[in-house]
Amino acid sequence: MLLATGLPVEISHGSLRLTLGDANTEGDVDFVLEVLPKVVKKLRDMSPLCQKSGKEGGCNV
Amino acid sequence: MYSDTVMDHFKNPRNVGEIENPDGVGEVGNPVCGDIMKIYLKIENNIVIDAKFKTFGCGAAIASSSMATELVRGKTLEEAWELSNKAVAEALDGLPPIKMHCSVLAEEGIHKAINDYRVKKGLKAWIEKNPHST
Repeated sequence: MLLATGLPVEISHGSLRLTLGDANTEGDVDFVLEVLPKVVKKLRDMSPLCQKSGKEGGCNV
Repeated sequence: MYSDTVMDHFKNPRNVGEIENPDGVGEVGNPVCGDIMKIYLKIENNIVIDAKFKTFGCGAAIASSSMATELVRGKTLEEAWELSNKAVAEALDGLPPIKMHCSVLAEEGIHKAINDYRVKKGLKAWIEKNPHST
């Protein structure tokens, strides 16, 4: 779907889709917000694509 | 599905990062296949004295680049060139068949970095003995 919107492959492959349902609580959201940004940062720091973009906190190529 | 060694190298990858003024750099893979690996080598007196990597890809790709950089450190260029994708996969206690291409990418990344060094030095690039189709 992201590719169909015209986004480049590398951005689409680096995307993450989060879906919320009825059963989710605010606690779940807080937990994701606590854990996920650290994981994303770690993987971005490791990516040769982020370095090319030269942008802080983003990997837009 | 992944061995403990793969998980260890994925979660705590060795040699992540870049080398300033590297002697050889090799970037392999492409976004369409899903993995990009960049290998940096520091070479002195024909010995790989430092190896680092940056990888965009799955856990197996990260673990393969981590292990490959570990394996070539301290090796002569000839020894480093001989590092096969199989050796990388074996050092990781195996990779699932659909992830073997990650170890191929690591071997190719090392090869490309070595040849980058050789060409910069005015030497002839070495020829792949077992070219992988990917």
